Amino acid sequence: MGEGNDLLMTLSQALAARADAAKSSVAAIRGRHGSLSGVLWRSDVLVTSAQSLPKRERYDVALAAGQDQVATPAGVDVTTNIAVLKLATALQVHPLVGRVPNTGELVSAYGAGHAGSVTARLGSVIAVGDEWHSRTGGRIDRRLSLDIRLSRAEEGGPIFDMSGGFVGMSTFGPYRSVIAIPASTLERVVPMLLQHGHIARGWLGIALQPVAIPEPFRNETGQSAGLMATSVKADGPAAKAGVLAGDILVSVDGKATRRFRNILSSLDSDSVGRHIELRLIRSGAVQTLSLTIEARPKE
Amino acid sequence: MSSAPAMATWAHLRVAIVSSDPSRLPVLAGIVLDAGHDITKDVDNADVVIADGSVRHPDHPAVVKLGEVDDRETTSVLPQSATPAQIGAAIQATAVGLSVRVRSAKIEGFGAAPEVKAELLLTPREIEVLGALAEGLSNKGIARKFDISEHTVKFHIESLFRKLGVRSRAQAVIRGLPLLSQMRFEI
Repeated sequence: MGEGNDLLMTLSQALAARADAAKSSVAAIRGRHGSLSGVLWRSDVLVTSAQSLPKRERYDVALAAGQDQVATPAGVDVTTNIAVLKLATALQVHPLVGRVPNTGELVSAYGAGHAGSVTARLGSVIAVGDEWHSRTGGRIDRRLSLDIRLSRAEEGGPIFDMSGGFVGMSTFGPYRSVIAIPASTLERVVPMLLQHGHIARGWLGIALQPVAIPEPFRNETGQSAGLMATSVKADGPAAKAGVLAGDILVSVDGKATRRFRNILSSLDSDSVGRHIELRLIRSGAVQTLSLTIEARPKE
Repeated sequence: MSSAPAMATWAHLRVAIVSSDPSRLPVLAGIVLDAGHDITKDVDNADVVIADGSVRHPDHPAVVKLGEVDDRETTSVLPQSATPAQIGAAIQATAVGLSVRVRSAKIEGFGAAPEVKAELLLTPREIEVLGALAEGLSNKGIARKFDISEHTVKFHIESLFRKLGVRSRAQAVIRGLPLLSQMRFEI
């Protein structure tokens, strides 16, 4: 076989070389039943998928590069699905250089088997979209959907583009679709988790349900949809402001709550302590309440 | 038709139980007997085998495994903490060739906050009426409960059906209630 001059051979060897290089960025986090993968973020920091990480005091970690290690939890943010573990001893790692891929580009997802050996998957970027908010309110800088299949054990590992640029951490979206938590989101969240163990976020203490605004109020509010309070946490910020279950929120600080993300953008980490104005419909009248945002209690 | 369709009745099955923990046997036997089945020691001739814990389960086409590990090869897998109702239902389903798994939050994955088309959102009153339908109330009952006319109740139900894309009260409940809980969020 012609070496080097055959296109498929060249491609195949290049992919194998990349998998070998990815070794120093991958680890297996062992559980009782199977394991989960993680990204070696820094010499002593491992990043993984919060939704699949069991709660423990300590974790056994097997590194693709060889050694076994012990790690302790350093912080979790379920809203962005990022968990951070601290390794007992520092290792040599490749610095990760974040990059946003283009739609259609080839990418590789790496994981680790139970013993730590590296696993590799090749696929492409289905779509690169705008910023989005998770169900729990976390802001993810970009929507990165990938045409890759992963086993459960491979979730949480790094995704690299073909130039070695770090695309992000792999995780399962709805229906086991594979998405990446972008490098830029990790860069924003991981340092905060290392410092505080959690992400400070604004909190209203309220459960909301999108509803159609009843006909008579559509003209007055200029909106056809709003958010109905289905429950209000006792002594929470909304309760203190006088919000009652059944109230329909139509705007926050003049911004229509027609969209869920409008309200989430008012609750970023610097929102704590800020006063906001809630416009709502209650028993046949539109009224305004003033609320002071508090920090979300630790879970 | 000469006869009314037969009511679906639960089959009376022969169930074999294998467990790695002897103290679990009487518990599982109780669940099986309460569900109206017989217990057999003859695994080969059992209709369904319950394999509990880390026991290596026998080669059988209808195995209900109780334990967290889903090897995806076993016919049905339930957590060890499964309720008697879940175990009973899994035995029945597995016996007729179905594969049973628990619907878990993890399968839902990490997803985006829902954005629903405004014209498909329910009004607060429609949500209340949907709740009343789930309770099995008649139009008259709903009218009384919310102190509105039956005519208005019909109007709300028609609107509900249209938004949910359904044709019956049962369908409205089956489709509507999960949809509502998916859209609810806490902040």
